[in-house]
Amino acid sequence: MTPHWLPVLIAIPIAGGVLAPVFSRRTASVWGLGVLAATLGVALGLTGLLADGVISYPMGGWPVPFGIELRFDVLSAFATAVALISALAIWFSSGSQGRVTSPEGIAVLLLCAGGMVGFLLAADYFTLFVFLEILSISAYGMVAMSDERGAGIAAFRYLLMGAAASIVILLSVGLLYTLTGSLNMGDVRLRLPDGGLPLYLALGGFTAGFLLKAAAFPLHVWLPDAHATAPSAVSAILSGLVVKMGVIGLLRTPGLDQLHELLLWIGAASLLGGALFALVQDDLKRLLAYSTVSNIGLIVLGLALHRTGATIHILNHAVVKAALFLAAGAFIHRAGSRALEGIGRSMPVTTAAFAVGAMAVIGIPPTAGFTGKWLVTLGALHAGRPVFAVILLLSSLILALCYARFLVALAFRPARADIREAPVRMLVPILLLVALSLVLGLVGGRLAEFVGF
Amino acid sequence: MSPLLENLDYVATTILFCIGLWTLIADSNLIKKVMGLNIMETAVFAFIVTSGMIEGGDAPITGPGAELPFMSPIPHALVLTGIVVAVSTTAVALALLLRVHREHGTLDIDELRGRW
Repeated sequence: MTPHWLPVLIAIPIAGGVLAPVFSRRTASVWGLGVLAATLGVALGLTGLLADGVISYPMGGWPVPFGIELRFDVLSAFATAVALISALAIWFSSGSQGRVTSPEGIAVLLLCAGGMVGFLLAADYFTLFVFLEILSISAYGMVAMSDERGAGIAAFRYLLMGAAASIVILLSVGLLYTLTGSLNMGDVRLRLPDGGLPLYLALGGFTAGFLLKAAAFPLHVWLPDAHATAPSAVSAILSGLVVKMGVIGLLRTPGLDQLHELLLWIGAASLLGGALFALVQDDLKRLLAYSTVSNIGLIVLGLALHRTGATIHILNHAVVKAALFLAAGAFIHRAGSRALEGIGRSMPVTTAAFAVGAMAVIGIPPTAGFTGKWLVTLGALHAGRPVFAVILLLSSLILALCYARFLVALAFRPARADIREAPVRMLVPILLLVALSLVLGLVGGRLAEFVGF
Repeated sequence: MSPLLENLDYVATTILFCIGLWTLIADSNLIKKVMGLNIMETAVFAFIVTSGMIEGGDAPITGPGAELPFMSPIPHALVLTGIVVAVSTTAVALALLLRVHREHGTLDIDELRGRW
């Protein structure tokens, strides 16, 4: 019976999203939370069953290389994070008057979550493409939910680059199909030719497309505007989850090992470039956006050096960056503007949570960010490429400087008496995520065992 | 026959793809960028459809009168789905452009840069 839960897992958030517009403004958030709780429950159950091996489901009973297959493997377990973080983002915004908790907003949020779950479960390249489009199109819409001036342009630029990436990915799917006569991931791997221009074109297309979706340097130009202008709850989903889909797509690409050298240098450039750009930002959300670029760099570097470390960092960074963006949202909510100096003294709990999150991004043990960075550094040393370990440590130092500079501005300027601590509905999701990041940091060894590439 | 002439369909789709890409990158009008995107999409669809074609192939419908060889139906099914995706992307793009035009009063990227 177990495999039948795979299509159910995808159907819950998508059906929930389609039904969301019939609810009223007050009940839509509750509906969204309920749908995501159900998704989380099913995803957790399936993750628990992973110990017995990968779960496969042939859609419609068509045998595997011919029909559409759904698979639940270690990467698919990220669906738990998708459901959890989306739910906390809704909780964070509940009660506010913004577009995020309007029935339409909840619908788009749930469709995006459904697209991501489908993307994680897809076992053939075309299904992967379809779910990539579902999640991307909802992500463009989510950026446009912001009332800020310039959000329309930011969303449109995101759409142009994202759609171009999608076309290149579709072209590569077509090339792979003409080369191998198959779309199923396992089957394509078996039939892949040894070389030749069409194969390299397909691999290059997948890499370029997914790296753009992941916002790796220098393909990151759409990210800062989109993530900084979006409502904070949406930024948490975009930075925590949506960009990760690009990296997971890379992990699903056949013959990734042939791109070893390219991934190394793009990862290093992204790691260092993101950190340097973050250093010159005055706006908190832009700083967080560039720090995402840097962390994506770490993950891309990890794809070449230590795949377990990269996979762990996908999860850890999702939790941490979601916590940071929600905390930034709480600051901006209370301050009423992007000017946050001295606000830390008036909001001690949020500031403390933000500081723990910042330590996790920098990679100070025992927070979550440490495990991934440690493993990738070890990978660089084992591979005999110490230069990448140096770049990694350097970028961590620069990031530490960015966050320290900001924390000083938050906490050591004259307090602003008119500002109170963030409301409970905002504090609880932030504290939950921060606590989770500490737990994830402490069980780093178990996680590595669980991923075990 | 030279390989280029033999694969005339691939040559044509490549040219079409490049036209779309050029429009997407070089044109300063945002609506034309969306059109460029659509041209690129069409090129990829054409490429995938023609990859399923066989010289003298028949529609893949079994029954009385069916004759081998059949054309591969899978690329056609893929492209149908792809067209749906492309239409949705275009719809969202145009909706966003409506908002951009309402906020800034122009759709020209050079004019937008000054005001935003």
